[in-house]
Amino acid sequence: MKIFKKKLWETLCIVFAALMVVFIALSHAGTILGGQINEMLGLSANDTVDDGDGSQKISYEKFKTADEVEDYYRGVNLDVEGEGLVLLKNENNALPLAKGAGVSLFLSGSASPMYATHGPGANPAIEGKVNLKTALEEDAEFKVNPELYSYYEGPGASARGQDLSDPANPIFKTNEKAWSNLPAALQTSAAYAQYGDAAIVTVTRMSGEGTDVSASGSDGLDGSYLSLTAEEVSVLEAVAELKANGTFSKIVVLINSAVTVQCDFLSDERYDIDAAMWIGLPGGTGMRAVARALVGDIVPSGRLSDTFLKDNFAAPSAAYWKVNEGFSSAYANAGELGLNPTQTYFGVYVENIYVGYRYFETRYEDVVTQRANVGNYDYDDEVAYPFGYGLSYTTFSYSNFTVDPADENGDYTVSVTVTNTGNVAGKEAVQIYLQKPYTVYDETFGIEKASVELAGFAKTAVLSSGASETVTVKINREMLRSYDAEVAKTYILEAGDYYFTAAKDAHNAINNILLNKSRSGKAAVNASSMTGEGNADLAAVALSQAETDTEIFSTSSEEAAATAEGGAEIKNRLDFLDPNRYDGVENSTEGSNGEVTYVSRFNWAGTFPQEKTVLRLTENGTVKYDITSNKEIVEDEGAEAHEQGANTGLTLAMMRGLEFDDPKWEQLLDTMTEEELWNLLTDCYGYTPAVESISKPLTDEDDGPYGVSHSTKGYSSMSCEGIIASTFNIELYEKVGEAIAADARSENDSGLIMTLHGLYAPGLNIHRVAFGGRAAEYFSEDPILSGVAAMYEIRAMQAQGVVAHVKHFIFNDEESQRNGIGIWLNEQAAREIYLLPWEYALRPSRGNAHAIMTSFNRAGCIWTSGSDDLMMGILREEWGFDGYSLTDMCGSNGSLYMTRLDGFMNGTDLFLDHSAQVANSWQSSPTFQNRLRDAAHRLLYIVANYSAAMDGYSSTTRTVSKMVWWEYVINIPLIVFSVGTAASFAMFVASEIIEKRKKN
Amino acid sequence: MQNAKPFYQRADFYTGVAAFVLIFISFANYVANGATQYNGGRLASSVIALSAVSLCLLTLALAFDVLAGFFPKTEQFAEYTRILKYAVFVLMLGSFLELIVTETNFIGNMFASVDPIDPIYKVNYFTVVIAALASCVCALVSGLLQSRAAGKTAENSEVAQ
Repeated sequence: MKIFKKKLWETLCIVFAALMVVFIALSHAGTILGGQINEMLGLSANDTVDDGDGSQKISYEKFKTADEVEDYYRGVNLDVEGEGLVLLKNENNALPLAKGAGVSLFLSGSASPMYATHGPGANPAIEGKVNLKTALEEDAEFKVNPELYSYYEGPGASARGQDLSDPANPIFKTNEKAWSNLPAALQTSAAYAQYGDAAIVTVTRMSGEGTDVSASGSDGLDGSYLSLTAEEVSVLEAVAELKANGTFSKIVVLINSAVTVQCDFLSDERYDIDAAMWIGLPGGTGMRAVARALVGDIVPSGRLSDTFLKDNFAAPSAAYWKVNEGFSSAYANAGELGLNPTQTYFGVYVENIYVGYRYFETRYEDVVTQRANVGNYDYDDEVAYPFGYGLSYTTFSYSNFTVDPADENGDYTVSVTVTNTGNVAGKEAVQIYLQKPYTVYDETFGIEKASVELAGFAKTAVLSSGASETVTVKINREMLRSYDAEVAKTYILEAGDYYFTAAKDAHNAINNILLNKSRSGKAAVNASSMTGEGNADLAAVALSQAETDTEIFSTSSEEAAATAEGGAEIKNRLDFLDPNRYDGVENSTEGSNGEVTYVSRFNWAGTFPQEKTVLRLTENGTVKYDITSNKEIVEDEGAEAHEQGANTGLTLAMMRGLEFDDPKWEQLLDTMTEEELWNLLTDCYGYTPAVESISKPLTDEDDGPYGVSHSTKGYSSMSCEGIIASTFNIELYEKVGEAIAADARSENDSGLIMTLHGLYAPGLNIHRVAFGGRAAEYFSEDPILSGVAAMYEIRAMQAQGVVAHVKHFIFNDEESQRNGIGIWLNEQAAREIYLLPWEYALRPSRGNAHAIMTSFNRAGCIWTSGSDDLMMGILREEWGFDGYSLTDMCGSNGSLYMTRLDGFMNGTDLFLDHSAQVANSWQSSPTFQNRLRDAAHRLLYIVANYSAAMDGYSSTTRTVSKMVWWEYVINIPLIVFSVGTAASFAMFVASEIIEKRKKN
Repeated sequence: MQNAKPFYQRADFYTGVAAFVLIFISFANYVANGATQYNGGRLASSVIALSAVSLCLLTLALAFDVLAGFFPKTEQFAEYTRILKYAVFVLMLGSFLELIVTETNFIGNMFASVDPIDPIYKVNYFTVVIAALASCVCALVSGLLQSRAAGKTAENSEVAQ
């Protein structure tokens, strides 16, 4: 019988089996990546069924159409850039330029500027964005030199990027072309005859996620990426020469960068620069604001959110970088201990609290007051433009400065009258700084005090020439606290005088205070060593504290206490971060006595980083336990396992409005099956999954500290966070949050379609060093400015049902070896610099953000998300944070140490990963199961009450799962080929038997 | 199986040996270097199981091929070793595909890298994957060659009869 032809069945069997295996693999891939595939394809694996009215709303819709959203977004981007750009220099009122001027644009950044960073910062697509030339022509009515622009637009002019010859250590390079590379015709004066009103030179630097910008090995003159290159110098020199011969009337520099370019060149006489402006990364529409500012249609009012230096390595954090040849170093005994790559690297924040202006202004004060051990320090040699600095086209005077005593809420009221003394209308950013007393107690116990700290700010309305406005700023007494990790082991209010001053920048602030102290005889001031202006009348003692109070700030404040059931004790929780208090690590640098030397104003000269820091892990049990992942579960006393999958009839919508500790939540948690519970928490790659049993909808999230990063819309990028911060305008911070959230919820031109319910925004790490790769995603070097900006942005975002996932908690201030790098610092710096902005963002009475994203790095030896002290002690007990926490992309490159076990056991709630890759055998532990339920509780509480995903969900709404089309495409062939394999194998066996029988 | 060539004169035997060596390379390299920060330091049990079973089956197949040259009674088993080789083909195809499916994070990082990837990871990964795919092809070729040789032998036997 032909049907039993053996060869045929043999062949068919092989083919079917091979195809079956292929479809099994596809099915497996679908299981792992299903959520992501659905998100990419815009599919939902669930249907919503509702026999109720579906009218419940928890968010408002300010905009009715996508066009409205786009118009609003573009407008806010314009306003933010217009108020955020900072006029650094304006010799002889070189700016504004006249409309209709002929200008020549130099350097590659003029034709291909950075609008946003690549990575998750914002949408980096250029389409739909307004470039500099268009903006100058349309908004400033300039005539732009076409030949020069064509050259810079051409392929040969710019190859900005990274040198990847060592893939593990990419080097940022400008690859800018020298003047001699310009076509010969462009090297003559004749080329600029009609375009000589101004030479506009755009200095551009890129940055982004995953890599810090290069501190060495780059093409900058000092080897760093942030200094000018020889090629840029050649262009600046040539332009200056053309100005000298009358070809150009003015030279204007635009600094287009989120990272702080070294600004020594702006005052270098060789380049004869008339005006300079920091424009950051302007986003989709911001170039129009730049153009308008150049002609005076916008009067600059931005103030620097970072200190701009003449030598970036003058900052102690950068000096550490220099002496250690980079931020990250390997533990001296990493090889002996057999550490894996995620355990091997460390970095130390040796600068202590002296980040940015806190260092420069404090050491300056100590020079002026002639403190001992101040060392060789010249402020003017190091600082180009201080924090808070910015010029305007007009001038303002301050008068009637008053400080009212604290009221019953602990708020001091500071007010000052601002008068526009110039000729054009403009806004002024009034900054209030604080000085705490630096005492013998501090010197003795190593408590550090910066000479000035930003305490509050306000922006005036547009003041016409001669007009005045009295600005009032409230400053809570909590601002006066200092962290004493040595004796009181909590926040204290030290004895001494506390000064407030109204100032134009941080340097002006310390000068005001110094002059006030000098006048009152409270400090001996060497006036000859002072630089810059000051006014003693603009400073005052707000509080003279007689005795140190160690109680007043030792428990969490009222609003946190309300959620923390009585308030938590604030105490040392971070000894494991500080090499000098943790017994698992020691400094093995010669002569170090095993301790790390932190910068201290007690001895600037002796503590400024001059030697490499070499840490060695000790081999004791503590460090072995801390640095190891998947720590053993210690069962809670009396922990009981829960039966999952109960039929309670409860749905998530029914929980809306219930208190967090309402017993019904436990019943709701019981309703989920074990698999649902696990998937809810671990399959969160840009979403949280739908849960059928409790009718929880899918929530969709995306990246985007300053714009939705995966948007296809060209305008979906705000100015970088540094520019947002530098507006010093609370109203604009709110508008940014509103615009970004509205954009997140709007899909396309066909109407307003709600798409995203959460954004991984804003970024809230600190610009602690100029080389930090993700500076565009973070606001400032200052924790208060960062925190306040975040607070208002978050409130506006969340009002629209878009949950803010503030990132990255915590100490992720640089990118070098971020996958597991151990960050070491002392508790005072941790609390006063790095954690402080998060208090503003998260505390219920402040930003009240409902979610955070944790970081890749370790705090000391422990992954940040695996630290109970950080995730529970500080976040939830001290601050009363009521939201959920999500890891960073642990599945991509950090899963060796970002483990489910360590995360869930210590207060981490969701994993940005795919669940299918991890066995859930830990669920056999009742304690672990309870932690999973706690995590789910926190997530569900936020979704039920605050997420736009719940709009329209009522008690009658049901979520029903369904198969999507691609699952049919995989599963049907899989069944066919499986049956085919079995059948053909059976036929093969049958034909073999028949053949054998025949032979016999 | 009269008139069949001794194993050392047969191409199918050598392709089978090549498949064995390749599976071993893939398996050993995966076990030694497969655990990375991109997969949580966890080896995929499916890859291990499929490769290990493949090694066993191929060992069995090659052993029968060799034994048949010395012990004619085992020839009747050697006649079916191609089935084992086909099975190895299918299993290693599965292993190869699982190496892709379970390493989507790493592959994603290679194509859209956010953080620099240690080049040694790429070398190890491609060694494992290419060896798995090549072993799969060798096993199939070995089975097919053996099948064709068996067919010819059978035809020769019929002609002789």
